Amino acid sequence: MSKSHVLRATAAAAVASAVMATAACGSNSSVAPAAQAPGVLVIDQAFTAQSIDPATIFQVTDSTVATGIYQTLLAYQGGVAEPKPLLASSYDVSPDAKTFTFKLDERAHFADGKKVTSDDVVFSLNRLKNLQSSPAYLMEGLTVSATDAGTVVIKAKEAAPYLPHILTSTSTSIVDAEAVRKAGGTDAADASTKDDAGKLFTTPENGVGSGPYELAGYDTNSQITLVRNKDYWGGEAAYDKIVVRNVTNAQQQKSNVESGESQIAMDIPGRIADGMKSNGLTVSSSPSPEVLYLAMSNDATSPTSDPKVREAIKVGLDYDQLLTLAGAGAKRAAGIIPSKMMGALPESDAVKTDVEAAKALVKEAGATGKTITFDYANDYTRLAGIDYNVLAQGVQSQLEAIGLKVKLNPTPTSTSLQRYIDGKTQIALWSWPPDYIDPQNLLVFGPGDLIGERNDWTAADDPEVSELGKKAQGSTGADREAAYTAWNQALAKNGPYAYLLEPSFFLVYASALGTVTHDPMANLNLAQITR
Amino acid sequence: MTITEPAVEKPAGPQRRARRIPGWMRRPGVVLGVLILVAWAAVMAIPALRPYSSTKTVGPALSAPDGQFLMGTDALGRDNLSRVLDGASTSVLNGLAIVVLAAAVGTFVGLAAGFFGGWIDEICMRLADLVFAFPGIILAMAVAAALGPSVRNAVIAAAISWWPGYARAVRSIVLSLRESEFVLSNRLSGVGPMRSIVVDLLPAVTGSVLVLAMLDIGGAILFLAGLSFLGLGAVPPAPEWGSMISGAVQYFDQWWLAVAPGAAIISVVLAFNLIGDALRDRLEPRLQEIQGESR
Amino acid sequence: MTSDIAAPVDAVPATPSTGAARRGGYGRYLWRRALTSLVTLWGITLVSFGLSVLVPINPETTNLSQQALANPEAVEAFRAKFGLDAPVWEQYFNYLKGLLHGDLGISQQTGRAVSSDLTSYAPATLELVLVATVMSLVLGIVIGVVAAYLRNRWPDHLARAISLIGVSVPTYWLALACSSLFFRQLGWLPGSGRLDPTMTPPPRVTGFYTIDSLLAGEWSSFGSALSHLVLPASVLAVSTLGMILRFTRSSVVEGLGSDAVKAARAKGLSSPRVLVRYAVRLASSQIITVAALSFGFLLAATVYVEQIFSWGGLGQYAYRASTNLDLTAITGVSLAIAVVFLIVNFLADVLSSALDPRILLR
Repeated sequence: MSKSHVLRATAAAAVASAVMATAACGSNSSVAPAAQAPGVLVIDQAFTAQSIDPATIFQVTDSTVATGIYQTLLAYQGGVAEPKPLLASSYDVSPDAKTFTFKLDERAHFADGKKVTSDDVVFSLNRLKNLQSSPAYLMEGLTVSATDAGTVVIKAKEAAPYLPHILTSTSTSIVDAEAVRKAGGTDAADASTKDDAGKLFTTPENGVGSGPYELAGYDTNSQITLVRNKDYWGGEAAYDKIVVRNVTNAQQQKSNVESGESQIAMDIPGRIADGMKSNGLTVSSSPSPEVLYLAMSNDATSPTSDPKVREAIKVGLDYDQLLTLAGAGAKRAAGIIPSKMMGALPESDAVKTDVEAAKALVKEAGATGKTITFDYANDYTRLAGIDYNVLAQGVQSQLEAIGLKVKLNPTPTSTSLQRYIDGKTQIALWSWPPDYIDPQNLLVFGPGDLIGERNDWTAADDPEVSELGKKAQGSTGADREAAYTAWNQALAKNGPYAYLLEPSFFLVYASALGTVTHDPMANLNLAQITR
Repeated sequence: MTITEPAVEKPAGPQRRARRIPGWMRRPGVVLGVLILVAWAAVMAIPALRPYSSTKTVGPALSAPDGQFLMGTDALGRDNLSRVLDGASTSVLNGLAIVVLAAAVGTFVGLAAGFFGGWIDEICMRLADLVFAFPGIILAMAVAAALGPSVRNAVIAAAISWWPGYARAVRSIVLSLRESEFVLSNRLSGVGPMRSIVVDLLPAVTGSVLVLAMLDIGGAILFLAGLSFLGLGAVPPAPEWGSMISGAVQYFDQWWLAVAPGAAIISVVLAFNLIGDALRDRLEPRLQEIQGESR
Repeated sequence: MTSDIAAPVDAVPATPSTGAARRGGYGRYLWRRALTSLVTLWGITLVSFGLSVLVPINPETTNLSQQALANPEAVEAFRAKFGLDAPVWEQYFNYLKGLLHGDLGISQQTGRAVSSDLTSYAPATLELVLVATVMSLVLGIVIGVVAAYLRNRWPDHLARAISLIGVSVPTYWLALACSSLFFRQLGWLPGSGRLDPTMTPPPRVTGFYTIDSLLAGEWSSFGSALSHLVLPASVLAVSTLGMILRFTRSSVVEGLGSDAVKAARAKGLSSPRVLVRYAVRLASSQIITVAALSFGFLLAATVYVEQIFSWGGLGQYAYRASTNLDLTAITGVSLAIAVVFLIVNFLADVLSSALDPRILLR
């Protein structure tokens, strides 16, 4: 071999080994199990982050991060679905559930030192309403005013017994009005065009929140970093730094949490999480506050417009197989109201599979061999990591067994959702993530309401269900439960929906963290994680 | 003018027959490639070779390879091996479709550009440049996302990205032949442009186009599988190698779900590349000519 | 020998043509290149917007909650904010106007300016692609030279086998397999991200974690960044290794048979010296061309690899933009990649012309 060739080869080998050596040095820290840098908490999540401005928050990742840097008037503690005081130390409800008075906690102040006053509350909630962004509808029919520096009154046009639940949503987080106004923000009626404070919220350590942490970095592609709020009014934050990382692959999350590279994994689906319990890892699960359903259009062009066909599908699905496909933690759903909320029906009330009856119904309807299009989002993994592709194929073969041909139409979420909204789908697979733990959220499924309309189900088609819905909306106090249960039952019987299952969200985390649970919204409250 | 061969006795029997197979085809690589392709062709043609149906649940979900299910089962309890075997026709035939479509469009455009010259040429070539510069995968993703997922749309999206190569090559050949004797003499004797193109130029161009197409098939199959991997090609439950690998991403521990379709893709693409490689060696000088002048 | 990216085998967009007459020198050449590049870039914007005419896109669907979608005021506010209420040709016009000022519009997904999205995500991809190209080049050239020198003996056949297999493997499958083996099974290398999550990224100078951490003297960050680069870069390198290997081999073989080399041999120079001083140098111009080409291929292949390794670069951005039909982002990313590609090719042409006196720039 020529000298130069040998030289070249040796040089290459030397470079390669140098690379591997330095790489080994650098990777040591990531291979040590649970020996993280003290005071740092790493959380893996499949990101859906868009904006950390509270008046625009409606994505899961933003909601999670917001629990650490902002605070709301009320909050859920642990997994209990009961709003507890946070920024508001107490509140009163008028008997007609139309007037709510909140007394603010005297000690509360923002990270920039300023006290939390009623002006901040009024500003934040009005800005939420007037910015006209995604969560603005939360403030529909509500007016906020301050009676004195420490008291806020919220009036509702119609009875709103669920208002305390609304106020636990991170979109209603209270921010420092003065700082936001200074940055160009406004809560006036024209805020949607005039507000210019967006950049303030992604500025590191901007101080406009009152939570135990402050934002240090916000990259929607890779990771969001929080640092300790040195001036937190509620005591001592548990960690110096929290890193929320974007890890889209569940298997990757599993490897990370097993190797100690991260301490909490939020998106590992049940079928994988189930076997992960070990000495170092704890697995906890909580039922999701949403039901996965099949929407069957009442539109005349669809074979599903025939009530017999819809009934056949409801009865012909092999729900047990679907539960197996979805993985551990999935349960039967008897109605659209999830088991967490009042008005939910017991699992035993769920539709029983009867393949023979289904086949007979299909024959009766003359629909044997007819083709139905089945739309679903093939990149949607948000719901407890359930693979819609697998579920859809399961449904397809089940419906084939009762005589209905199904053509699958998997598209990216944006396209699929658009088709659903435009009423172009025949069968569609979706769930409805609630904004707060109250069945009032689900009234959209009624005939003539948002989801009902999409599937061409009008109030005229089912006046009885429509009436029950109105009654439930207007009920207060002890009547609510009965009203919603009645509505739920009627909806299950007559509605163009087949309830597939209610999944569970799983958390896999390092046992050293103690107890970590989801909040009732199946989100993670960063402020409540201790060491 | 013939040259009389020296009077040597021609050997009889197998040696004589062997001489009929061109040298390049006797290389071990080509033989291997052809064998692989013949095996896959047999699989595609004979449905009975599949042990089970590829769309029906036949066993427990996610079971490892064993005597009953040679490549294990997937999340819905379907036989992995049968699905891989069924996927062959989708991947191979549609890969061929991409190349045929791209070659056809490219040839047409190249012929027009080269023959007529002038502004037609400019427009065609600028169009080709544009498609070249637009990152192919992004264009394909956007087109597929816009048109909706289906193998047909993925083939169209891929063909849109591939035709410029053929247009360029064909154009350069036409340019070099346009002024040659036989074409000119035909035009002078009154042959119209269409006939001239079809009768004189097309045959000259076809050979090179076929060679280029041959070399591209492997890449086309990979590209199509890639689009399906991204969720923009074949629609379930149809088994397609790319979407099978995509489905396997969720099931890391079930290695057979990814290994089987991956091995299938590699074997088919390798086979086409082996044959194309040997072909290219045989025709290397001519190809370099085409490549060199295709600017 | 094509890889799994859309470019047929003769895709050499700017190969200097041998034997073409030189007209007007460098100045004219630069002028022509710049002009054609601009036309190409303009064409890209045209195609992008053309897509939106073909398929009416409603970006508010992915960006607003379903309740907000039912509220016409909220939809109006959203559309007005992104200038979507104007007819398409007017939007296009505004876009072009903005382009002249360096404003690439606002991405509907992230809500930020596309230009700031690109500047924040581009370094990640460039770092990855550069490292992969270098790996691919080093290996490809070394093996190619050996194969040419020992042609038709077993190292040559082995090299050819490597080359063929390299281009037959789907990149995403290889990424999965390597991730599964080296990360999950063996635990040798990290499987996602660019840096250890507990470390803060080094102060940003170039955006390349390797360079920036070196500049800041943060050795552990440097090591971590390198270890995160190994897997994805290696996977990418495999896809272009075959092409580079092949080109090197054939151009070195050609160089060895050239007149200059024959003359050198006649003068009595020993074989290895001939190899290095003449054959390789003559081949280097072709190698540079193919290096530029492979850089372009890799830019496209990162779409797959970044998804699997959660790299947070342009590839992931492009994928999300395409599936969400985020028009400004798609256009922005395409322009960015095209610009990089055009620049790299231009540099390659100039360099190869400088190295090989036979090549004249047209």
